Amino acid sequence: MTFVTPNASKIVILGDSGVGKTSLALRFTHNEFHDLELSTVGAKCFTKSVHVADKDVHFSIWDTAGQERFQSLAPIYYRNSRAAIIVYDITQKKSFHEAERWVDEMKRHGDEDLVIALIGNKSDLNEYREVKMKVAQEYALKNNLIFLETSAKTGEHVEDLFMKIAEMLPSVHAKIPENLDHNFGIVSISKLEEKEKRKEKKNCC
Amino acid sequence: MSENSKKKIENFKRDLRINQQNISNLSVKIRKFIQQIRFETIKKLKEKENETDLENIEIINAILERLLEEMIISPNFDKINGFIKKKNELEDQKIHDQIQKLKKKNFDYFGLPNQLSKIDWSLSSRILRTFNICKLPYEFLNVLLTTADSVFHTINSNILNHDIQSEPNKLVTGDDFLPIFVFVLVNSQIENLVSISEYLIDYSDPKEMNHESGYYLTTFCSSIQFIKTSENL
Repeated sequence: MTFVTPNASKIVILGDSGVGKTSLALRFTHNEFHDLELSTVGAKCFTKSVHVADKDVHFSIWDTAGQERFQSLAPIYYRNSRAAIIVYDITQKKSFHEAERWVDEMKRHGDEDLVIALIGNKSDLNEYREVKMKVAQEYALKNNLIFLETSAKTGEHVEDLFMKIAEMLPSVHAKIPENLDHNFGIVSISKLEEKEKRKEKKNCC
Repeated sequence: MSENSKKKIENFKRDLRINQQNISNLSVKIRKFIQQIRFETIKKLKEKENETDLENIEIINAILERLLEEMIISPNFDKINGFIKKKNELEDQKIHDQIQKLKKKNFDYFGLPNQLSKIDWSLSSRILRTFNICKLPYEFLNVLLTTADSVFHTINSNILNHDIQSEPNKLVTGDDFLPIFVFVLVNSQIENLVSISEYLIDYSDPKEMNHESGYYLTTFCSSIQFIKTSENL
């Protein structure tokens, strides 16, 4: 039996495979990096609360698979998210381009008030850097994103990232489904496809 | 639970009509009623107890959910399930056919990292197969959680037994978990996957959906979609 934290804000972590999505979540929630024992826990949905502006903000952090073959499945995961953390690896230029693609997707398909953070991870590997901080910073500014460089390995700026997200959330309370019809934070792909088709139809008329 | 609530439940069950026409709205009706009874019961408890802490309320909520699913969904499961299966007959068959083809595929087709492909995942598939005897949403969600646990335990016991090579402190990431789960599902011999996913989306406790159970239900639904859209089999 599992017991849930009330009114948790769902955060989805997106990005290319191997950029450190799971490590970031693990660093924030358990203050650990690549801990063998923790991998037996088997949680790929991490939870933690922070205290911001006299309020407790509960996070439910959803990890995703970054491989290209699974990208079309991402909408099932990011549905009803309050924030999206889009991660790239500062030592892999390709992962930054992939992050740009995720930003576009979230801007097009995410909720209107979705908070988006662009994160350059592995800042401890500065000597192998392929993505200039200035380039990423300017891109983030232009697109109205939270931007930070983090290191899941050392913990640098990881806490700051989640504090910033907490501060930016329009409300500290999670969305309560307006009705109970297919709006549980999860929806089948066929229903999402239907929604997209309706949206496209509306736009073209 | 108060006598008044019990009476409400009896009346609700007596008045419940299940047919092909109302099946799409039935889940909304049932879920709203369960939420209402839970809310009323918790409210009364809070009034009675001055210092009921949050953890206790969550435990009571979870117990109430199970109890109400047993009382309301269980006696109607066969009828509800029958209509959902009928509606998704073609989709279920399509997934069944895709699975037969996917069973012949190597581990790398699913995107499993080389070192993880040497692991025997049959225990996780056998656990997931107990879907075939589940009726209530909370039972299905518990099986999903147990399956996920078994995946991580299997990996770690293989690492500890040196059956697979691993970097020190190798972390099993979200990149690894989805392909493993797809593989486990393909080999679990569960029928009517589309119907099961629709039933779970419609009848599960919405309170759970932003949390661990919701995460693994999302992984289950994503895996079905991956199976459905797999090409060149």
